[in-house]
Amino acid sequence: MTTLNASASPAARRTVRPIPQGRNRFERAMWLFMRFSGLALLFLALSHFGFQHIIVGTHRLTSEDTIVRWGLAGESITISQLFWRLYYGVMVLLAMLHGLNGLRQVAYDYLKNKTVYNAFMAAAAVLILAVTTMGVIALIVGVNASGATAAITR
Amino acid sequence: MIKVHLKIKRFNPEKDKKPWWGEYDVEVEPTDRVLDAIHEVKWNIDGTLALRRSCAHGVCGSDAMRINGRNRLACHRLIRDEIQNGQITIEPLLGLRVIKDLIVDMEPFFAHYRSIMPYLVNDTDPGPRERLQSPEDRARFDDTTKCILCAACTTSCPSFWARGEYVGPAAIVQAHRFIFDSRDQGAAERLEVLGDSNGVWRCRTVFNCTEACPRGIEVTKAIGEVKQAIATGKVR
Repeated sequence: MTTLNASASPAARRTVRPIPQGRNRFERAMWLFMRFSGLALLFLALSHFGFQHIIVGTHRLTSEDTIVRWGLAGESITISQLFWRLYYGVMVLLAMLHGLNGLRQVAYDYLKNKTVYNAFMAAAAVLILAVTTMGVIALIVGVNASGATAAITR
Repeated sequence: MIKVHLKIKRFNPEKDKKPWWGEYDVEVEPTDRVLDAIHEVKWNIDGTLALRRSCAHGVCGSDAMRINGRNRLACHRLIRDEIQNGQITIEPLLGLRVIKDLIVDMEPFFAHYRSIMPYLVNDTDPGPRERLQSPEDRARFDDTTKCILCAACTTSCPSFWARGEYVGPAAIVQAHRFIFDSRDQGAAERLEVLGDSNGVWRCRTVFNCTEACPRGIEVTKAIGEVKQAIATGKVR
């Protein structure tokens, strides 16, 4: 009777020879970025929702809450204010880059002409990065006192 | 016997400027297969209807087509399961050039298949016996051995419809079958091909492929495992 005497190493312990890096490195990195940024955004967006609409409460939300949480531009800030600025700065940064890469995937599907694709992506990247930079700067710097006062007065 | 109204998308590039719908009424048993109804048209109503089929028993995979908007094997689906208000709509697979009626040009599909080296790669001497493998190691890639290369998965994939350069689910399934085979040594080369921008990264996890597979292969899961192997450099 023939018995199976497998001496081959189990697949569970196999390590592939290093995959030659090069053209695939970017796509691999982007794939990982989409997974991790998606997970982070899920946490950030849900915690933002929970804080704003459950802990503070939808009907009690005012501009003053925001000012207290962010602190005023040009003034020294507390640890708590620093936390909230970074929290929303990271959320904006991840959301915009996540969206930009999603747009790249869609553009790759529909824009078959390489020149058109490159031009579209260059324009999209410049626009999105510019908006992201403005957003992150606004969040990190803090609330503009005169603007906030005007908003509350209105 | 029941009466079935078949609506079949017809196209003969030598005669037609664009595809048109051929409509046929046939009488079949509810337990007959969709392929039997198409045969009824081909053999008794309009002999010019062109289709591929070979074994007619869900093994060869040559009669994959769109039945009521879903990729299916015509020999695999029964009339009673597909009939909707007395009608069944049949079209050729999407994403591949139509040669005539229900026959599509499978060459791009097979070119992707060949690109992932669908054969055992191992230059070491196996000795006087065959290469042995434990039942556990064999079980690791059992699901993907079931593929019959019918192209139902690849031609149900929106990424493939958009870009024919995408290697497609079927080629990835075939690569999975060898990458996770403990006797094979060509995983690095295959993962390099699949790590290309038109490789596994084009998969958006839509699950159309899993839904379309007539063999019940968990195609999206297999693609996920290949992505993971490329991301980690490890075949688990």
